[in-house]
Amino acid sequence: MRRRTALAWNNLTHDLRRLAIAIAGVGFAALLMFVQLGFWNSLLDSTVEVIHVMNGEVIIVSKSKYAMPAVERFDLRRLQTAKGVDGVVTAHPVYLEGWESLLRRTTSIASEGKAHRIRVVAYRIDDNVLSIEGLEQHKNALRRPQTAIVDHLSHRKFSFPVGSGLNKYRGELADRRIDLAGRFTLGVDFITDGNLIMTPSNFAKYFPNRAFGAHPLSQVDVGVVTIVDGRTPIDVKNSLRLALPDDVDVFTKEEFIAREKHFWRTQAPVGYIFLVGMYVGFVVGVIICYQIIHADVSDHMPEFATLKAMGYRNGYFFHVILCQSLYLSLFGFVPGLAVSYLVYQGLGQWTGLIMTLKPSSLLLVLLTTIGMCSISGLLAVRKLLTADPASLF
Amino acid sequence: MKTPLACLNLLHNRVRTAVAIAGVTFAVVLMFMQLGFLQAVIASAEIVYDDLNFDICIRSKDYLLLSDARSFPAARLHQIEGVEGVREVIPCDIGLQLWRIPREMPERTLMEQMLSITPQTIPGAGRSLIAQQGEKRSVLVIGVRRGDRVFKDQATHESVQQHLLTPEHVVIDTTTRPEYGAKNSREFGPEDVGEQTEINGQRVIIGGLFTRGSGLAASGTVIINERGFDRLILPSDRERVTLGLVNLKPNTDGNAVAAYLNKTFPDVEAVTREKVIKDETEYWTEETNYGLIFRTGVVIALIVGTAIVYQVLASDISSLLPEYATLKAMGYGNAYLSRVVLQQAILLAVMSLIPGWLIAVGLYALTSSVAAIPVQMTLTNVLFVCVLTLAMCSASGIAAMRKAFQAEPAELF
Repeated sequence: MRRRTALAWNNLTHDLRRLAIAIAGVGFAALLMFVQLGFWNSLLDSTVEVIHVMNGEVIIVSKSKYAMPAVERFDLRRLQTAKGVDGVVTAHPVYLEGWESLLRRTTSIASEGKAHRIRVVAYRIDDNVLSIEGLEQHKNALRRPQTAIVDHLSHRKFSFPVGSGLNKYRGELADRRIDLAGRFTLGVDFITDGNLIMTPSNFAKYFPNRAFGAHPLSQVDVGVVTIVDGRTPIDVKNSLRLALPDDVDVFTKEEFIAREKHFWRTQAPVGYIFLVGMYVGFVVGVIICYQIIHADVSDHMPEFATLKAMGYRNGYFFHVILCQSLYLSLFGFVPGLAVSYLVYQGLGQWTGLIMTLKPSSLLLVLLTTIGMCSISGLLAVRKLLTADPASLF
Repeated sequence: MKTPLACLNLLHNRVRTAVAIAGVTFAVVLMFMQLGFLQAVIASAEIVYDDLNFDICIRSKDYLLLSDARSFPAARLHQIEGVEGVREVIPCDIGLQLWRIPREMPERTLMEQMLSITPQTIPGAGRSLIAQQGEKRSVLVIGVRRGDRVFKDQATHESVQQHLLTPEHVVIDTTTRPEYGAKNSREFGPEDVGEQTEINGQRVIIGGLFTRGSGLAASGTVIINERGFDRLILPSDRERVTLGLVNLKPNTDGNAVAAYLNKTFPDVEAVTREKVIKDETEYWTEETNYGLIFRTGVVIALIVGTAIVYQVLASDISSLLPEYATLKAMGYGNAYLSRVVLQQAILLAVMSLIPGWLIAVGLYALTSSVAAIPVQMTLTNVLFVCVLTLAMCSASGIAAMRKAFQAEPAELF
């Protein structure tokens, strides 16, 4: 008996047109899962990107700041205290304004442009508090008064000029003139539609009332702490916790990112919608795969019956169908992945959201696809196992 | 000719038909879900405005959206009261403020949320908290004068009349997320009446309830009286108002009055009801990323749905190919075969739409309760999905049928 006939392979490649349709089906199931998973990840990743780029190991925020968009600030003096704590190299303030910061384009052809909220991020540029792509070349320009640089992933509604037309932009931020000196890359999320970066001294002029009468820079949104080499973030965080009063919270950067993601996962209504979308995607994926494998097995029933009549055991059929399912899932996964990659690129470009194909998503979808196909194959093969060969014709 | 072949085909192998129905059903569910999400974005954009009583809305030139409406001098409203055709002008303040969570809130599992069960806190065995006592959350606060008819909904109106007795009293939306401090951890209800907490650091007392929904910008809504609202904002803003709700005398042309108001009071914007709702919807679907993402979802659901239906029909037809070939050999034409396959496709579509619709209604209810977002089965959704499913099924049927056309009867055995 020649055991080495590649039956599973031959079954699949025998009818190429059918194979193509099956691959398309499995590919679409994978695409569906990838897209839903991509939206879900982008909701979480885009929201924490601004924390991600902070150059520090420990983060200080107001006790009341339950999520990044919450306008809750703390006193700059807390950072002075933090600087004196053992293990801390330095502590920098980051100022954010996403509420009062109405940006209006004044040169648009429509007589008066509509104002839109943009997030303004301010920090001491020379201290490299944030690692921002494209910032380096604009450092000098940012020192000019009423000057900012703009996130090139900002929403189209701001109608920022493309290419070199940026210096012709005329606009008002919080009713004061603003000039744009260049572009950087940060990305938007579900709350933020665009970003500006400027120096704290400029920032103070645009938002003089943010500290309710006190100096506008005396109220800090996020404190970024860098630590001494050889100390662990947890260790320094604990020292800071002891040294600082109760009106601030101290997190390691990883903890802070995890907390922010947890908030969006569990408490933002939109999180649930994507979660449901993802589950429905998985269920639909299973159904498609089952359809395909089931149809394929039913069509080959006479051939399988012949083999059964010849004396092949049930284990052999299991083996064949599982192999076939595995091949099919891999064949379907590859084009599904390729199309998803293009869809991610397109959506990322269009929305400015972070749409990355993470290794974890890749693995999850791959395993699910293989799992779906195998389960479907096993379900489909049952009929064959219980059937009497003679009745199969 | 009168044999109902399409019906008999489907009835003949019931298991196969059941599998086919399951496949198409899921395509239907997928479309319903994505469409429902898109619609939920639109519905939550309108949800608060729907209940406000106005023909024309006066708002700041800088108005962005309901939860970020900015303000204008309240004196403008007195001037507008005298304008021809205006019956009444009602001031209404709206804004996002900070709500203090009055107690520790245990985290609920997804199962508890879906089944709406109160989490059982076992003493000693600490359950992780979703919110600490004293944490703050954004809440949409609506400030009204108690005598005014601000809300169209009778129950809401009565609740406001009865309970907003002092500047400290608020009525709270029962759809407010439970982690804002609902006593039973499930939903704000009668047992929360009398509870004290703070908004923007000012003491408030829950005086009563109403039911509406807050949309995507906030996860909770409270109504407070005008003097109460003034306690929450800066003194300099107390002479300003967020919205002016204008009601017209009968038989007055709203567009003409709005145009006149816009000309006469250039520092504010007068907008008709239709335009208010349209602007709000456009903001959420065009200016945020939600609209695009859910539209992409609908398109992908369609493509995947078509792929499933094609799979199902193609395998169904190819398994009946010998029978079709026999018919062909007997002299039946392609037109007859097309009719049978199309009938079969349409029957399949109809039989899948019904369970698909039922499952979707269930999932809508689930999403609405867990996410506190109004996902509703609208007639538009139903018609849209019906038409698309029939189209998908017919197109897939026709595509699958080509095989039967091309086949030589003799070859098929």
